[in-house]
Amino acid sequence: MKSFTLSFLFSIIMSSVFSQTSIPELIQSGNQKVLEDDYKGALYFYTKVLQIEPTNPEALYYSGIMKYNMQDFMNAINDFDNLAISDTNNVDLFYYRGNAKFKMKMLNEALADYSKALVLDSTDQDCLYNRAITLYYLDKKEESCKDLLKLRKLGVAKAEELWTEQCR
Amino acid sequence: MKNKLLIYYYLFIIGVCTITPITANSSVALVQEKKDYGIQDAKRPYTKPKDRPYLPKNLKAIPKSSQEKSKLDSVPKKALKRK
Repeated sequence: MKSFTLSFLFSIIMSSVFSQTSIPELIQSGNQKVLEDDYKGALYFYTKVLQIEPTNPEALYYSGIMKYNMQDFMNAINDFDNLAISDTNNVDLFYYRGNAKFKMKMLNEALADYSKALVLDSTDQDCLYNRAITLYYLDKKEESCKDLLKLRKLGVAKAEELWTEQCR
Repeated sequence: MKNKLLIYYYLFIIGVCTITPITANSSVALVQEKKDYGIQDAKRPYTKPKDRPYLPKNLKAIPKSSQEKSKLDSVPKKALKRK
């Protein structure tokens, strides 16, 4: 009985030790799969990390992106929501969550996310462009043109095209 | 009788065909379809909070307010009361 208890305790300690050390490796394996464009394979590793540490920011972020890439936008938003609880100053998180919400046609929510990202970093051209597009679809032409004008001044070719079509 | 009905039917069709384009034209501005513009979704790697270029600005802002708060905390409550 004593040996059983000891071996049980030993296995628990060892498993926790291994699980701790394996998180960076698991993330590395996931990242490797991303390089091979194997999003499903990558998601497997990020999910493994989240089973060990459900709030791991890197795993939540990449898990969300993998789901986004696999067009599973609702679950991607879910991961980004979980990440947003602890990581409140992440422009990329709001950018991706905005994109996922845009794809789900949740335009007002997407707009809010792009605006949050731009509060953190007003020079983020992708967020500014995506907000302009979202505003365009929300029939807020004036505000959309304001964002496009900012991008034009920064020399963004795509914005120039859109501005000529919609704002001139 | 049948011929009369046919004539009415043809007149109705001709009427519809002439009116529809006119009304459709007038409502073009209202029902104008949105052009399909895609968003930018370039891949972005995860950056740790300490590596974010825009964060120091925010981090500076937080201690400042907390410092002010702590200063306020250190002031005796009586001093904050209006005389």
